[in-house]
Amino acid sequence: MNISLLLLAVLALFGGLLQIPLSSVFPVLLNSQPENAFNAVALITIAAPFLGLLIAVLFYLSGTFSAQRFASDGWIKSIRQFLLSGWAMDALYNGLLQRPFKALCKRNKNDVLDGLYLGSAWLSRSLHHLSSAAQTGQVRWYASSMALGTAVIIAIGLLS
Amino acid sequence: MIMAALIAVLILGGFSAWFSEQSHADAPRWVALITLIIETLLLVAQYTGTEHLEIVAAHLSQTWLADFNQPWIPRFGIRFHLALDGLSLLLIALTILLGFMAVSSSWTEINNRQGFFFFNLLLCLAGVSGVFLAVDLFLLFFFWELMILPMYFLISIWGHENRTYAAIKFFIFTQVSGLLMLLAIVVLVLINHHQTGVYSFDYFILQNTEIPADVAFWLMLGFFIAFTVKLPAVPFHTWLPDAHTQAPTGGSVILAGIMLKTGAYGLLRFVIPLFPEAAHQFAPIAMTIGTISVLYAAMMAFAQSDIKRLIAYTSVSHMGFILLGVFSWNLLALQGVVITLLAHGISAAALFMIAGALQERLHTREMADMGGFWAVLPRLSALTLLFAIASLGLPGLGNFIGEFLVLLGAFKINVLLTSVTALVLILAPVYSLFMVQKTLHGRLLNQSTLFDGNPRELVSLSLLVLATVWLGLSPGTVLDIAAPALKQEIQLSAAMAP
Amino acid sequence: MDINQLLALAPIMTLATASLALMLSIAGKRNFVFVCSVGAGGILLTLFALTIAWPKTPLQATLLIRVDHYALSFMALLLLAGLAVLGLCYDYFKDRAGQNEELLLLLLTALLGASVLVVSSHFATFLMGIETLSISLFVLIGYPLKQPRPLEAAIKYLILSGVSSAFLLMGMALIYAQCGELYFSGIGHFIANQTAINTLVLSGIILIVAGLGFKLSLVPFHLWTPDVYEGAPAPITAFIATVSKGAVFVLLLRFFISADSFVYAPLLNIFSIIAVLSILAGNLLALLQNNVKRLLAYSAIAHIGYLLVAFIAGNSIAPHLAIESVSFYLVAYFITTIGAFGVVSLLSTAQTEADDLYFYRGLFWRQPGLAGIFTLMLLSLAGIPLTVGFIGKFYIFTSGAEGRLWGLLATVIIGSGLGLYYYLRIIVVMSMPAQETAIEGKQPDRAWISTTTLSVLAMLLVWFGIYPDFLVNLIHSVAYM
Repeated sequence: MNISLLLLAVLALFGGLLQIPLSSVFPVLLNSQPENAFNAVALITIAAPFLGLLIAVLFYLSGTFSAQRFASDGWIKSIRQFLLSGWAMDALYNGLLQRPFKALCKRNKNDVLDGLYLGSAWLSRSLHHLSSAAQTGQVRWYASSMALGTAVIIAIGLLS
Repeated sequence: MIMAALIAVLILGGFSAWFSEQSHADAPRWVALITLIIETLLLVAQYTGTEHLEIVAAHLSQTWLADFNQPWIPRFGIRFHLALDGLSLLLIALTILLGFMAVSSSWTEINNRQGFFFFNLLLCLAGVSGVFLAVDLFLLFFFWELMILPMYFLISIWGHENRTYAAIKFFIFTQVSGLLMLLAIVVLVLINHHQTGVYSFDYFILQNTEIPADVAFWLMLGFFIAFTVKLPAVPFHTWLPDAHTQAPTGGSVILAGIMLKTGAYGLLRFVIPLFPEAAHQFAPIAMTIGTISVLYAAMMAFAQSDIKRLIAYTSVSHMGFILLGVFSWNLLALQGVVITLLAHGISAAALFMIAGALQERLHTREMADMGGFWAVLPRLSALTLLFAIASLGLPGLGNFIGEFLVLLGAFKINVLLTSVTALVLILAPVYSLFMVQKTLHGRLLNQSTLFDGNPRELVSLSLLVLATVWLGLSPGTVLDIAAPALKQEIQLSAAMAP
Repeated sequence: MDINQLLALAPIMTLATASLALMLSIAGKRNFVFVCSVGAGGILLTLFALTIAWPKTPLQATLLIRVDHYALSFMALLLLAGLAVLGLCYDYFKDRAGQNEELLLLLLTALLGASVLVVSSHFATFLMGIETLSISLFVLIGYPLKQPRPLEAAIKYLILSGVSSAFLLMGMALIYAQCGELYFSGIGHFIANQTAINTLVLSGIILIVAGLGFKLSLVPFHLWTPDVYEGAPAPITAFIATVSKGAVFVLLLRFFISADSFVYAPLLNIFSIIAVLSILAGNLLALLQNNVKRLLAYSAIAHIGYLLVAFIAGNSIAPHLAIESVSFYLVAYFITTIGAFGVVSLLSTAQTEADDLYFYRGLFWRQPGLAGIFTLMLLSLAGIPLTVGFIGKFYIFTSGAEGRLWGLLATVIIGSGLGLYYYLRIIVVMSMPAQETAIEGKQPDRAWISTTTLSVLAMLLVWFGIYPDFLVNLIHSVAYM
């Protein structure tokens, strides 16, 4: 068990020095920069793990910073929460898509378009009550409305 | 001849079912079953006999399989003219299949006035078959109205708690839109009369009428409104949830499975071929209405707590695809429309049968009272899951082929609307799986003794499973039957083809 | 007067003789069954006399009467309607106390008045016909004399009919003052010779329309209709709703065609307004009505509104198409109205009139035949295919579309939609479960004459609805005046 671990550790440290003959697989190089160019990207890539190592040493080995105090800080807690929940993607979907959709659906459960037809039914009912009011049962009302109607009709006939 | 027999057998069967109740209380359902078996034999005879077709009227091309033409009201040139082509054949086959399903699902549900129930059921089917066969516009209107009255009785006598409201709403919506269509028919005939001096209501003759553009638009609108109320399309759809929810199971099966298809058939057969230029102008609006129907109804489906109401809204959503496909008017889209008609008929009928079966056991349709059925009703639950998945458009089942072809065909015409419609591929799983989760998964709330599907229910549903799987995996047969008719329609209305 | 003119007058003379014979038989012996048979025989003889008169026409039988195929065919329709009503009256009144024989006499005189209306070509016969009809109706409406409702209805009808007759006479006077003519054709010549519209003649015609509008129950002259229809006995209501309206409408059509009044454009505006208001008001008033007779009264208002649409179209379309539409719709209307009121009459007993909707609960399960007939009548009133009412509506659409009356046709569609609601309401009530009912009705097996009449009407309704060719050809041959 230890031998395999030891072997893997050696390979991990020094395996990058191996040259894999890839020129047959990737024949054309796009950006033909000299292989050993030393630019900012390379610098950061090399510096980062050492920085991490330094932070770990400071936190856990030498005790300069307290990991516990750090973890119990409010800000750090919320950042940790944010990162744990997958950069809050779920919450984003919930607020942007799910909640409005569900609210809209629930509000419209009884179909606002039906209001058009219920409105026409209401209109018919009101007109019914309106015209029924003319049926008073009194002959004087009937006779006078006949006379009035005739007058109106004659007026329409003469005016048009 | 066989076509007239198709309709006549259903009507006579209806009357026999009604009167047979006097001899034995359970006789009507057997009479109905026998009638449908006779219908099937007739249809098979019609289909196989078309190779030996004798005389087809001279002006009919080879795509028409049969023709029957008798004078009726000579004063107005109205004839009893029936004609059958591949499209009608497929839809009548669907009618008979769903007739069997409706009879099967009403077998034990209807206990009083059985004879009158099956009379209305068979008469509904007769009206629907008549619509699919009629090529005389007056006859079309006749059968159109003939469908409405028996369905009204089915809902208002054997329906559920709010049946009176639902039945009257259904009747008034369909009747008023039908009157608009009647007005359009009359004006079209009168225009033709002025040009040729002859009254004729014949579809083939009227196709050749020269109609001034603005008049054509209004006439097309008259037909369009009548068919989109039946389809139904938003904003004319509000009769459907109530009617479907309150109807008895057999009524819902026929309503969702077949009667909605008459609206689609009307759009395909009459609106565009009779008024090609006006329809071409109107196509963007019609396709937009289709898209809105698809998405709006999908949203409404998700919001429902009553399982039948949910399924009803899914019907509206699927029918929105029809509008999109028909007004694209290319072969791909039309083939998609035909497959959607058949596949939706099968899946919607199955879902309503299952909802009816659940209601018969639980006496409730509220999903809040349901849950955890997978444990106690394994077979029914499996079938529910299958049809819910069919409804959301899973490849391998019929609905997928239809939706896919429609989207493909419509994409050539209007990229924006097709892309927006494709959003339903998200919304449909939302409502389907929501329904599945609420009813089948979770805790078993209703502790009453629940019986799993009895043989009759299982056999009927399995037939539907076979049908939808067959459609999904090999739609070629169906497409081949319908293709000649569709191609000819596109050819004749050359103004519309892109 | 030569033999031809006498033969042409044969129907009217037969009818008058039959009334006299009836009166004498009442004076001789009071027996309701016998008197009914005499009445029925009289009507049948008159129908036979029509066939005698048919070959002699068209003919100006007297100075005041013009008999032609148009008039004779409508007379046949009115007489058949009268016969049907007679059948209904027999079963309705036979169990009632009191002296009911005079009813038949008045029925015959009312038919006589209606027949005279149909053949008139002069203002004098016009007035004679209307007055004979009205006076007979006064007593017919109030016939169960000791009850308050019919009496109230009769007095209302009397007073308001007097008002309408006053309008009629004033209109005739105005026209005479201008034209110096009382013949319809003479008035037509006068109007044709005028270059501009003569305001006095126009006012005269409008006043005549007002007077006739009362009889036809058009808005705004409709207010009496529900009260009178509710109060009168059901068969008499059937009579008022059909024969009275039909005769007046036929006269109106003849007057307008002979007097060439269609050229007056303002009249068309007025008719359009009246039609729209009648259709809408008739349907709206019936919407939540619980009394079946009042509901049918309001629906009758709407139906005459529909009929007016065909009438108005007669201005711009060929007159024979207008006459054909009007005739077919009248036949359809007669069949359905007599049928509907017949059902009400059959269900009524001597103590209670079957007018409240509550009486109809569960009728499908108690008396399926009667409920079936009533359903057919209601569906025909609603204009559902398979019934003659649908073909009538189809005719209205055709003449309206030919005449390009789009606004009116839109109103017809709206009216039909509204109408569906209350017709279906009755059907729903009839199909409710039977155990919720609490009323006795008359057993139809005891009233076989009425049942036969209603069955015949129902069969005609379905026959003409499915295969109207026979009726269409009949009317088509007559429509060429």
